[in-house]
Amino acid sequence: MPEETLVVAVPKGRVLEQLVPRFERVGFDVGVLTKKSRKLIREDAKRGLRFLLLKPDDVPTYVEYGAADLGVVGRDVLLEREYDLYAPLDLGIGRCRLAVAGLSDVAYPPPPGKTLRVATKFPNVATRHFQAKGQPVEMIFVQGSVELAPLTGLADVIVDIVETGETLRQNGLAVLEDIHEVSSVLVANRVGLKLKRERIAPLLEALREE
Amino acid sequence: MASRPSTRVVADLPLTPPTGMRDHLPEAARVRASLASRLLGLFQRYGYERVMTPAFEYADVLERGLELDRRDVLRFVEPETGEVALLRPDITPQIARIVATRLSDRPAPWRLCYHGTMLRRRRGRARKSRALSQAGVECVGFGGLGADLEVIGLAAEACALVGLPGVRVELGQVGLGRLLLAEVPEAARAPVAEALASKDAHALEARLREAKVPARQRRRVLGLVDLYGERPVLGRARRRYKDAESRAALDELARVWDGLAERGLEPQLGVDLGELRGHAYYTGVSFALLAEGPGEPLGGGGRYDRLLGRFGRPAPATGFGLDVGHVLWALEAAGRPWRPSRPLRLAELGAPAELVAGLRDAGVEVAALPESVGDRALGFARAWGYDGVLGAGELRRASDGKRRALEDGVGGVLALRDWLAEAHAPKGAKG
Repeated sequence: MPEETLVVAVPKGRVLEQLVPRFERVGFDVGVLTKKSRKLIREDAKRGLRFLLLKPDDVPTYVEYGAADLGVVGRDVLLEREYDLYAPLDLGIGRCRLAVAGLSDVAYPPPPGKTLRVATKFPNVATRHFQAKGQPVEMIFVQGSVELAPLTGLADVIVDIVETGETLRQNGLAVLEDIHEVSSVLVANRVGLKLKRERIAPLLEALREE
Repeated sequence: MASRPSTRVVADLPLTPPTGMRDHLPEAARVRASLASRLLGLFQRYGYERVMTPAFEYADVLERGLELDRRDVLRFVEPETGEVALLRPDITPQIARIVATRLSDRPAPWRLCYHGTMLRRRRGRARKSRALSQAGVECVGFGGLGADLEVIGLAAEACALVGLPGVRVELGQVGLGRLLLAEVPEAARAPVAEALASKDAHALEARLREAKVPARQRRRVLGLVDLYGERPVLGRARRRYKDAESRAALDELARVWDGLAERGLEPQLGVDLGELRGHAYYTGVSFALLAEGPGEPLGGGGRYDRLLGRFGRPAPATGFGLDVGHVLWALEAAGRPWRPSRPLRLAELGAPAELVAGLRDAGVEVAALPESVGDRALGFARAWGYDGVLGAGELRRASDGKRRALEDGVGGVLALRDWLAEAHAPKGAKG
C-alpha cells in the first residue's frame, strides 16, 4: 500500500460519469465512486487514493488551497475565474463549447452603435469576448435557466455552455457564435505536483495514453 | 454576562478588517514574532543587516522594479504631492532603491535583511487579497555562483533551523523561458506565458497555433512544459536546446545544482524550467521553497541582475523571502508547530516592589494587577496565559491554584519555575 494518500477532487454529476471509465482504465477502484451513497469522501485505500465529491465550481478552490492534490474541472470554470493551478492534462471528456446564443431571428452581430444586453453565468468570459470585438454590452448575471433571458426580453443574447444544442432548440434559440471549446482538465496543486511527483507523474502518463 | 465580549455593536459598522487583513491576538502574535526573530537572527549571523522600509511609496518607484498588473496593487493618491502611491506589494525593489541611492557610497557587497508586511491582491482567485508577513535577505553587488549558493543555502538553512529540514528547493532558470518566449510574437506572449506557467500543454499549443508560430518554434516552447523533476531534467533540456544562449542558461543552473549538491542539499533539490510566474525582475537562477501545508510555496527568490540598474546603479543581486505565515502553516502540517521559548510569566498582586523589579531584571514577565482584582487574580492569570499569581509572601500556580510560600527573593521565585510548569505537562509525561 502506498504510504502517501493522493487526494483527488472530482465533480459530481455529468462529468463524473465520463470520468469513471477513464479512471477504471488506469486501475482505480471506481466502485467507490459509483457506489450510491451520500458520503462526500470516498476511499480507495488499496491504491492510497481519496476522492472528494464536489460541486464542479468548487474543485479548483480545493486544489488551489492544497486540500486536494489533483482535481478534474471544466475549462469553462478555469476561463471564468483565475486560479493559481497547474493544468497538466486535458482529459478531452465533457466536451462542449462556450457560445453566444439567441433567438434564431435576432440581428447578430447587432447594428452598429447598439449596446447588446447579454445574460450569462460567465460574465468574465463574455466581457472579454465582446471587449475583443469592440462590442459595447450590458452584462446581466444570472445563475441558471439562462435560455429564458432572450425569450422574456431580459437580454438580447446569452453566453452559455452548449453541449448538443438541444436545450437551445427546444426553446427556439440557436448558436450565433462560438467562443471557446471546453473540455475537462486535470488540475494539480502547485506544490502537490512537485512534492508528490513520484505518485502523480505515472498517473498523468497513464491518463494521457488514450 | 460580564465575561462575554460585547456583541452589541452598531450594525452597519464593519468591525472586522477588510478581506485578507488579519489581527493576530497575543498568543499568535508571540508565535509569529518569535519565528521572525529566529529567522532574522540567522540572517544577521551571515552579515545581513536589517533595514526597515516604508509601508507605501510612489508608484513610479515601485513600478520600476515590478511588472505589476495595476489591479493587483492597492493604489491611492498621496495628498501631499498628488502623486500615485502604492502599498508595497514587495520589499525587494525598495531595498534596491535604498542600495542604489542612500547606501551607494558603502563598498560592495551589500547584505541586507528585512521583515515586514506586504500587500497583494489577486483577482478572481480562491485566495484573494492578502497581507503577507515576509522575512528575507537581499545580497547586492556580489555576482555569480558564490552569491547564488550563499543565498539558496541560507534559505534552506533557515527552513531547517525552524524545523523544516526536508524543505524542497525547486530551482528554476527564467533565462531559458525568456529566450523561448522572445521567439513568440509579442501580442501572443502574455497568453503563451500564462499557459506555460500552468503547464497547460493543451492551451499552450492552441495559443501558439493562434499566434501562427512556426512548427519549429512551437516545439521549442512546448518542450518546456514537462521539463520539471530531478537532475536528469537538465540533461533532457540540454539535448532539446542546443543554441549557445540556452546552453549558457542551462550551464549556469547546472553549476548551482552541483554547488548545492556539494553542500549536501541534493536530496532536497528539484528543478522546473517552465516556472515563470511571479518572476518579473529575475534574470537568472531562481528558486521556490516547497513543503506540505499551505498549498503554495513557503517562499523563494533568485537572481535579479538588472533591477539595481533601473535605480541608476547597476549591480548584480540575488535574494529570497519567506512567508512567515506559510512557514508556520507548514510546521503545523509537519506536526512540529512552532513553540516560542517562553519566559516565566507572572501576574502580581501585592508583592514587594523590590522583588518585582528583581524578577523583571531576571527576564520574568510580571504584570501588576490593580487591587480591585482581588479574588479574581487567578482567573485573570489563566485567561491571559500567566504561569502564576505572585502575592505578598506567596506564589499561586495558575493551573490549579496551589500555593507556595515565598522565601529567598528572586532566586526563590525562579526556583519554583519547574513546580509552576509541572501542572502544564500532560499526565504521565515526565520532565
